[in-house]
Amino acid sequence: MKVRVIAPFEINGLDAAGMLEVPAGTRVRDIMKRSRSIARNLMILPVMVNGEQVKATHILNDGDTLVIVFPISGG
Amino acid sequence: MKGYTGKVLFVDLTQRSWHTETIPDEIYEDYLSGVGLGAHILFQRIPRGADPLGPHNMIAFISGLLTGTSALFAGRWMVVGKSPLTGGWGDANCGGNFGPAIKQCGYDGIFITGIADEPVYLFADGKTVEIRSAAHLWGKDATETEAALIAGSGNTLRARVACIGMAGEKLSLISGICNDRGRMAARSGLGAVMGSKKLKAILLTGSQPMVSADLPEIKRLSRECNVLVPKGDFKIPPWLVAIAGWFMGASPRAIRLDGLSSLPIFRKWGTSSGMQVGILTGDTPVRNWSGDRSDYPWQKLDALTLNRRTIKRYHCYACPLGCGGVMIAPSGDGEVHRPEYESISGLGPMLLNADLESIFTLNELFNRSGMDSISASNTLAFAINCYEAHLISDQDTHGLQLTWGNTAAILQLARQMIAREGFGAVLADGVKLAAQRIGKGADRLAIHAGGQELSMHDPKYDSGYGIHYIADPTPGRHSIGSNMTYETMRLWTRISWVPEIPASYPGIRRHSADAEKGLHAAGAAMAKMIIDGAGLCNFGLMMGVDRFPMFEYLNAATGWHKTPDEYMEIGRRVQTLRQLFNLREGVDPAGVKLPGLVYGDPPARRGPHKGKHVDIYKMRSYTWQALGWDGESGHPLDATVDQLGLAAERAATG
Repeated sequence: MKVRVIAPFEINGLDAAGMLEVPAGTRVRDIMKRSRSIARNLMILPVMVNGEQVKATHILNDGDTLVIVFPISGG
Repeated sequence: MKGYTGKVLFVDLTQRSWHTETIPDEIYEDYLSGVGLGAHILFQRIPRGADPLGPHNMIAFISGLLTGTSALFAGRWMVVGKSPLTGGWGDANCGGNFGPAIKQCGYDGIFITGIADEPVYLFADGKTVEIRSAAHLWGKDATETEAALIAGSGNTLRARVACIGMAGEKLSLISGICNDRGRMAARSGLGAVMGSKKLKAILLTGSQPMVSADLPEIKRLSRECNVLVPKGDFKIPPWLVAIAGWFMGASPRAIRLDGLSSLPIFRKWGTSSGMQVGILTGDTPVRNWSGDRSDYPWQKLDALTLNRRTIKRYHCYACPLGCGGVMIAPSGDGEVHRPEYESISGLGPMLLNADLESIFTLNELFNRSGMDSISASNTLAFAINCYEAHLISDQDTHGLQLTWGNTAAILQLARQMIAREGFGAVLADGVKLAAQRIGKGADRLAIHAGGQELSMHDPKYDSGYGIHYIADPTPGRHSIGSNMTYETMRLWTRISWVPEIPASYPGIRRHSADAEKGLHAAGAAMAKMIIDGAGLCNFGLMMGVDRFPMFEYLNAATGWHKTPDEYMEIGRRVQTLRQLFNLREGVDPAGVKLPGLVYGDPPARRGPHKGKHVDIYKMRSYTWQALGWDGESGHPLDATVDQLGLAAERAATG
């Protein structure tokens, strides 16, 4: 299945459109583990799937949009 | 119908007359509505050399093309006019609920010239237009004015108001125009233009429907887009925000920013959520731009503390996000708007003011008085800096001891600025004029670009802000663009000629002064002209144009079949016309400079920007070239002007 991943760090396997091919039963934490280098330290960041906050154990479905929350400065 | 009404209202306050005109479809195809329509009409109707505070200047209130079409994030309204602050093109925009009210009266915009012989307000309901006495409102603040007009409108459900407070009445060149109890179209000093016309307010109570070419398609696009908008509440410890700030500041590699990652935090805490990130990364200026995070107790500005008085979320018209907040004011004013990032930065770190309650109070003071908190806080910081440098004395300040973080003195001086009294009279028009009035070399402490004070973003952190501070026809503004907005808008997914930003890249590349940087900045500026023509919010565009259907919305509303590249050409046309307006009015684009400490000349000796120098003028040159303008002078090239169909406007600059 394919999920869309929006992360403030690089995720292994992400295609140019931001989609990731994953097996059925993939949990949020499995995606987080695909992050590279220093970004692994940010695995405590909140995660939202389809606009709702979920836990790292949340099981993803085909077509889900996973967003790892990260602040910026602005206004 | 095509999203727009095709009709605008002209009002002459001197003659107390009004009429409507039909605008040809071709004008909308060339300029959209909003800022583009405003630039087209004002260029034609404001005579060259007009006094910004005289009868011949025209001020216009214009809705966005998408406002009222069911498009998301499409509630912003524009104010345009010749700026008394910069002497050139002026525009500002605002959320709230005034934008749709213009269209509900049957107009895309309301254009006003002349000067009334007494304080007045303009009333329109779609059937009639009246110029009414505002004698009973003159002297009231913006919130009181709005409440009084709505209460007396006979239609409290539909009544919408845009008005000035005391700052605009006193012709402060850093005054703005308010709606919805203190939300402000703040920049360019257009509140003073309204004040000069003795126009206290506009009251609208129309109820005309707004019709699009393809409403079902707009609704479908909105449903699809809305899936990505964060919903409900979510939990995030505030200390995590600070850690993220450290990470972003310390990492040698930059990660391409994605607005979808940040919108949940905006929904929860608003733009105030970015305070600690801003200070820790060095984005937020400190101590009149000369300090850094070690000068200020940034720990006090965590998102939870900043939101301790917040009681509910605030949504502008058509906004699914709701990044605004309503809080209980410490001043006893009841429910007020939570301050935004810009205001907190200016009233906190810029002044070394760590008293949070006073930041709330000052913010409300400026909102009610209609004074731009960005310009006002820069001006307060300038004054303190002058006092510290012994350029002004206790005698000059009438006994006010203007030391850093002296909350009581800051509050008193802010009130004096609004009332144009005491030492506040010296400061009431912003830093450039204040420095001239003080003399003694005070201009070296006056931080501005082309007369307008800078927003709260340091180009040494994000050089994109610095480019637009000096490259745009309305200098000093943060909302035109930045590296951050370029990355989050993801223009490369829809536009053929703009470069893609890699998912991660060496942080040093943020400051490379090359042709690619010019394309980024030009692309951001052109997209901004589309955004301000459509009446969209920058935060909606933070989702990226591959997820937020700006171009598809415009086609569905109008029935056009334009490509994203063609819309960008509209953006280029509007941007070029704004520049031609400045040239006609004698503004020298290349003469717009930044003080050295803003871009690291000489480089800072400590803090997050230690040793950093940003080649800001080279970046500006590349940006102008990418727009089709001369890289040195900022004059649009003949070929560009001809291609955009602006030959007549160019001829008017000669």
